[in-house]
Amino acid sequence: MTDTTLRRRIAGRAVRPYAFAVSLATWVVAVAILTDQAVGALLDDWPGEVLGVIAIGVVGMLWGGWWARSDVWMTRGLLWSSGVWAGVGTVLSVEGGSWVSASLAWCWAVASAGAWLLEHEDVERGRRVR
Amino acid sequence: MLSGGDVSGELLALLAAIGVPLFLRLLDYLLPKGRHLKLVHRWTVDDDESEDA
Repeated sequence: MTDTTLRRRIAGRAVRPYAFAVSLATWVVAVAILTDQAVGALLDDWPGEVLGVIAIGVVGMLWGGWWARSDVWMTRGLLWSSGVWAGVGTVLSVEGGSWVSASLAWCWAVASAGAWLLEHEDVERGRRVR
Repeated sequence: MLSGGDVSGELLALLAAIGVPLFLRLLDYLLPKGRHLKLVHRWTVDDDESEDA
């Protein structure tokens, strides 16, 4: 299976480009949801706030997993990031948001699901990249 | 509480956020190991063989 990490390390830790990118994007959407900005305006009630908390948790799993060198937590973060972005794509699709924004959110969901499948299989096979 | 028009969109979003990961986990559980990435394996095996040569 193709290695999904960069050769260079930061703080002695392997860097997964996609996990890094999705952690930043999920952080942005989490802040937007919790501060009722942009897509957060469509998610301003309790289900939206729960989604925002889940998004914060995803960022925590990805960054915490990277820092602690835990492949399990990083793969969980990727898995749940697909859910967060599916949720964002759903509300944008249903509530009449921009089709571009909705499509991009679904693209993030698909990418995260694919990244999880790749990472999950590597973790199951016992490969550890520190 | 939620207004009627807003409930469906936000609740659907939350259900999707929870349901998609659970669905992926179920998919991974039900599919034979290594089969759900069979197509990817076909592509990557050829690359690995060319690197070994």
